[in-house]
Amino acid sequence: MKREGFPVAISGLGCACSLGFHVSQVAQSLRSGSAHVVPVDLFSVEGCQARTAAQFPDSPAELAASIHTPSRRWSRAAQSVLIVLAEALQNCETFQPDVVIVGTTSGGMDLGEAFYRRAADGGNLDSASRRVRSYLPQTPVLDALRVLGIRAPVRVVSNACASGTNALGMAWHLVRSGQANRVIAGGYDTLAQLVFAGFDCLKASTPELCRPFDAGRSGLVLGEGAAFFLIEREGAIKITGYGSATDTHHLTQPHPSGSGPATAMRRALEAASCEPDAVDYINAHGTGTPQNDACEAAAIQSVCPKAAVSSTKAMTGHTLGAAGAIEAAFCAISLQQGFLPPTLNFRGPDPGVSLDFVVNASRESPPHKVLSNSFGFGGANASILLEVE
Amino acid sequence: MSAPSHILGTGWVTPHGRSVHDVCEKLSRGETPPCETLEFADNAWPCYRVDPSSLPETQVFPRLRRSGHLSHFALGAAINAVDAAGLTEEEKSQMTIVFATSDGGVTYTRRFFAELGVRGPGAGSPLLFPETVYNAAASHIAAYFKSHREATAMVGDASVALSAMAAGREQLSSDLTKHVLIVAANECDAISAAGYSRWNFLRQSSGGPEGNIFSEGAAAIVLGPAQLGKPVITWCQEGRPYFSSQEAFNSLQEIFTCHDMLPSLIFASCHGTALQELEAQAINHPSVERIDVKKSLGEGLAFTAMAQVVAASHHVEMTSKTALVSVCGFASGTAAAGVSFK
Repeated sequence: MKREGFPVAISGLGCACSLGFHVSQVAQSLRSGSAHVVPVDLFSVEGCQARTAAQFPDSPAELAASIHTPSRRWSRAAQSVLIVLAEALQNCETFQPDVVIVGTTSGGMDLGEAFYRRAADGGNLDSASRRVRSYLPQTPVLDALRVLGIRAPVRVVSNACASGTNALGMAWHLVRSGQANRVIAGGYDTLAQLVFAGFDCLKASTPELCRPFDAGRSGLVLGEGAAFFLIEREGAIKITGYGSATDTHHLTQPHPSGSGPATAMRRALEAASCEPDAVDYINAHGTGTPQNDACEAAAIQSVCPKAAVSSTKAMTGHTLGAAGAIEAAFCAISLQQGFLPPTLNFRGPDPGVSLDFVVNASRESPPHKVLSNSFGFGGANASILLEVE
Repeated sequence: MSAPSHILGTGWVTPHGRSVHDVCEKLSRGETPPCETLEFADNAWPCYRVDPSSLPETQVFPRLRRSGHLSHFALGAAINAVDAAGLTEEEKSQMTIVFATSDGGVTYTRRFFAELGVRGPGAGSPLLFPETVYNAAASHIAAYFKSHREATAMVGDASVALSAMAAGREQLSSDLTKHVLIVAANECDAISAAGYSRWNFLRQSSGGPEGNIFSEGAAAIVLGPAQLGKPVITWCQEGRPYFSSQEAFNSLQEIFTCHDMLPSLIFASCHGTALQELEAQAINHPSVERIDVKKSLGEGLAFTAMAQVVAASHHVEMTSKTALVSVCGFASGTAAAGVSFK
């Protein structure tokens, strides 16, 4: 059932990940099907089975410092947030949001880790206040907004890997219902040792290539990035539906039936009054883990079996709390530029899966309605529908 | 931004116990619970802790078998609030959940990181890591009530509790859900005490009286449609950022000016910190009685901010008068809410 409301549109976008620090760079790499998965050099991965990640192509420090010199001392997360927010606002410098909604899982974890090491080693903590403050997930956003002259309440949503999509969904509710006129929404996460080791100990990371939806897939590769949207009523690309659902099967494993993801997708389509067959493309969560991809493929087959499907995580790695925002940004780029990004490293699907996967090279096929899926620990499932007129 | 919403039920898990009425009595008398000590790397901090034996129902819930304290506190408070709201099984399965926290399951985070330090990055425990994720408690609560609606975790300083309340009210206003369960929780851990004491927000065992005593627990409310005899959140201003004491003062003053009300009781937030006097000045109701919840419950961040709301709701329910909740978080958030009886 469609609930009437105000239109919700994207009027500005910034995006950074392993493919580049600006939307134009990212779009070019998406189209050419490039990946930037490299040996981790940010921290020790000794003893881990996985050794690679989709790191930023360069340190964000210099670029951030070109916007605000003192940001050299910020966390890597805060630097990336500043770069991406500045890009989103570059053509809308007077944009003053009613609220800023951000998805993340780790915040400024790198500085939190540094504080812990120092405390555990019995080091002097007197100079460590900055590290503690920067560890808090709201700090990177507050600091960047302050530099950019924006004062608004900041909400941090931390629903594991669905966080970015949840943040966009919350923004969609607010603008659609008229409870807000302008919202900045998005997500960020940068690589941190604790998180890297966490996925490794769960055997969710792969020592090989990330191969979403491939029958021989062996796990995910972590990544880092950020994406932010300016959301208001006017804009060429509309957000027309959002749906979410909680799967209570297990804290870290989805129900094999795919019922949680399927419910989220259906709710997003219902909110937009969109027929499933009208969806041209789905940017799947597609982590490359055996369980996620099997469950998601089942959900897509049951809800939108005709849509073209790809997972961009073989290119960008899994950016966790940023993934929903980054992949919604990829959807916006697809709608704007008329192509579908590929699933790299794909050889063949699971038996019985007959989806229209876009594999190994992008497809020139202008979509009109695209769905972005994000699922996370805790059974958090969220889907968002974007359309171009 | 949202229409008034009714508080149908409240609950909490505190160092003073779980009865809303009894703990409110202690708050009004300024009683403090027994003090324990957190120790880490040659430092020590006093703290108020929850008695684990006060949570028998969460300890037998299978999903929490390996969980940290935070999830137990959150679920305990949620069970009390939902019971008090009298929701049916069907209503429980359809309610939306918003969980607010400041540090999440920080004890497991510290233990996980300690494992990495001792045994190397490749030797972390797969049992600890999932519980370090901020939304773990929200997921456990959803599983307990068999809710398949959205369960959202929000993170921030104490003001995040009111941001969660604002988000819950928006869901009700948009007719997306009939009931919203909002839970805020905190657990004491030495690593967070070490961090917060850098800012002089927490008292050290060896130090003077500055700062507050670290504490833990959870508080929860159920919001829903109008019900006779239930308090109403008439307005809720979520966390506005500040970067200096003057900005915090200005922000609070602006909120109180915008939502002009003469409360019969004020539930303020800043006991024992430099922000306390500033908050009192911004409230500017010198003749109205003020209860500093944190004087009795300590600094429990998101937990104590939501405890202010629970205490305000209890006061309104008992007296049919109005209450003001003022929150000045330690890291950039000012927020406030009005609770009354309509």
